[in-house]
Amino acid sequence: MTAHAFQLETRDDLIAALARAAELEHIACCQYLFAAFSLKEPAEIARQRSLSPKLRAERAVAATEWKRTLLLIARQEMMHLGEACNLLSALGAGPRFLRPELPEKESLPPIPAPFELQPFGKLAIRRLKLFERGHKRAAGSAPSSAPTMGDYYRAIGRALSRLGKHRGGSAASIFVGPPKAQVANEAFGMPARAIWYDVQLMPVVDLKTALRAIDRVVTQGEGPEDGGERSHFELLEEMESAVRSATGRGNQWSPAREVAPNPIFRPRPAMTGLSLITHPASARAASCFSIAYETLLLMLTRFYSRELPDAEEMNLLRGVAFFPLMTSVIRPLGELLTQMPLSPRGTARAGATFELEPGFHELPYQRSFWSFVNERFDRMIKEARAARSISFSGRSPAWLKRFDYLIDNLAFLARRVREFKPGS
Amino acid sequence: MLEILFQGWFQCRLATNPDPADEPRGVSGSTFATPDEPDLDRVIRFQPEGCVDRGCGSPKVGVHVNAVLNRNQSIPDHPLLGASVNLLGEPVFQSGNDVVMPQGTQIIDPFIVELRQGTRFLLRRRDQLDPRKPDASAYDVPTKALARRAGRFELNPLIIAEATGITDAREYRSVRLEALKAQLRVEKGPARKVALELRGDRIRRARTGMEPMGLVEHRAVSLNGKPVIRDPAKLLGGPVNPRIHWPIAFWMGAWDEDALCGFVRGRLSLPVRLPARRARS
Repeated sequence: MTAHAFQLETRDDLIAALARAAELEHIACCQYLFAAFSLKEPAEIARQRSLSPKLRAERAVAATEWKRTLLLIARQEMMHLGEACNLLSALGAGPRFLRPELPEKESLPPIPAPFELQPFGKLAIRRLKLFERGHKRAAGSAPSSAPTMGDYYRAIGRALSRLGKHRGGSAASIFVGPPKAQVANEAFGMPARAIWYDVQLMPVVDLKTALRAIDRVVTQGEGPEDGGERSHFELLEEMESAVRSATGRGNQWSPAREVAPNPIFRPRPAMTGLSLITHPASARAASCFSIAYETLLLMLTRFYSRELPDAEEMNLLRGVAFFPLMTSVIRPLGELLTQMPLSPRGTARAGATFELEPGFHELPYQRSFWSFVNERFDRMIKEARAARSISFSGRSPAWLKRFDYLIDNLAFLARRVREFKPGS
Repeated sequence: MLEILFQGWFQCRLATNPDPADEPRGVSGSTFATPDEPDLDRVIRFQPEGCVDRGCGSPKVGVHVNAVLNRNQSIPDHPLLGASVNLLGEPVFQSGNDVVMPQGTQIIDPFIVELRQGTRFLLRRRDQLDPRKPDASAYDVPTKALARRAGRFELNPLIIAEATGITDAREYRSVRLEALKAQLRVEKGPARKVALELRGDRIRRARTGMEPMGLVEHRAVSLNGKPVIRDPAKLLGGPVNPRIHWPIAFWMGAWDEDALCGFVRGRLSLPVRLPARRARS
């Protein structure tokens, strides 16, 4: 294995390294979701009447299977982000749900690879493989000496062990964070060892549990030394091979919609590599998505800072952020955006923007936090209703049905959030 | 008081967590539509109309009255035996990925029960979440108003074995797998073949830690809407009091995630004033 000299000498170094790890896991999760949302549905594939019924059915199954795999990895990346936040909390720092702006065309240290939102296809898979790769497993190419996420996490693990010894012979002395802030299976009423929806959340309270968390993140990403469960990298390799044979020469078809890479709805000073959403319906839907995504991050930050005593507040955060916002807002809206036009002219589609508002900030005070969240739900509903009111070419009854359900769910969630009275 | 007992298999073609409730095809959860099937629609169907029969030993959908009791005494020749029991209004399990209700307590909405015996008998009554707004859905009422219709889960394979004869979920799945293989050998339609292969693959890969076939969801509701009663042949044997609420209690379980079917068994209590002779029988 190639040794990389990451300078991790102090607790502050470790916190900075874990914060960067959290940012990278977060970005990877967005990349996986973006690619998954762009995949066509069977009905779209079935419209290709020139194909035989068998081929149409096989392609529909393949596209669904790829989406299933991408969403599975996205959930596990979310879990890795949670593990990084648990490690940060254990060291006494706060969780890290902010991240650098996308795209990053060159690299985000320590990973020398571009990070951007690409629709499903060979390029997206190649990019994701660069994030997940280990040194041994870069099959089909020469072994690379460039640092990997595994190297980075292993360096963090070594620094944790070393720092503990320097601070009085016991690693326990560096784990000064509040154990109550740890988010583990039990916070969701699940047994400690249960794996639910391919995820298991474990607490970090000492060196042993910290190293266990690090080992699991590395193993799930690049794979264990001795085989075993398929890693993200191996799943991507299989997917790449299947895509190659399904879309290769003489077999031209695209499993993904024509989604523009790196879509944004707020113009930036430098627009290279970005796709500006200019269709008014899509821009309003993207704005709704962005507010929902930010609200999710705000709620997760508060949930992962849960030394707070208010059980009702914790229940509400858990009950709104996890399933409802992730599953009933982010995912359907992300998928619906890939069916909406990027601009009034042209065939390109918009996509899940994952944009953060300029000046997006964490909210430390309970009462103002909930005021902000209430306002954000009101804005989401306003933006969604505005998007619904603007027609666009190709708007189907199925799209309308899903969008109306999304608005109903947003309104219901807004009501639930409003019913909570902080400090009462 | 007449106790109407009913049971049978229902179908609900729904996406399951972690998919969104309105996911049309089923991607990440344990349920899915095969390429030759229509989109998942979440509707709970007690009768075959609108169901997608996947064959290969899938349960036959149909919920019917299987016993009628008076003061706990069975009436063996009661004319309502075999009557169909239905839920109307395209009802769904309304949890919406925890938007509306936490998982495990999801309500059925709307909740409109119908008993029908051909053209000779019809009884229909809705449960209203808000009597001031009879047609209000779960999305239209205060969240606290939903609790009265909440379900309650338990793991109870015994009750399922007694009702369905299914004592071993693994064996049940093995039988289905063999049936799928046998059908695959004779199937001529290429899209159907892909569908059969997909089903077999999903059964083989299914996690068995949380055994869905052993889960039972209990529900109890007092129907409070305005009833519709058409009983020209006097099958009930006496007038039913429309002013008081009619309790209905039932469980749903034995979830067959390949066939998208489950078993339901329950009882509806009807305040029927029976003549003395019928009451003694």
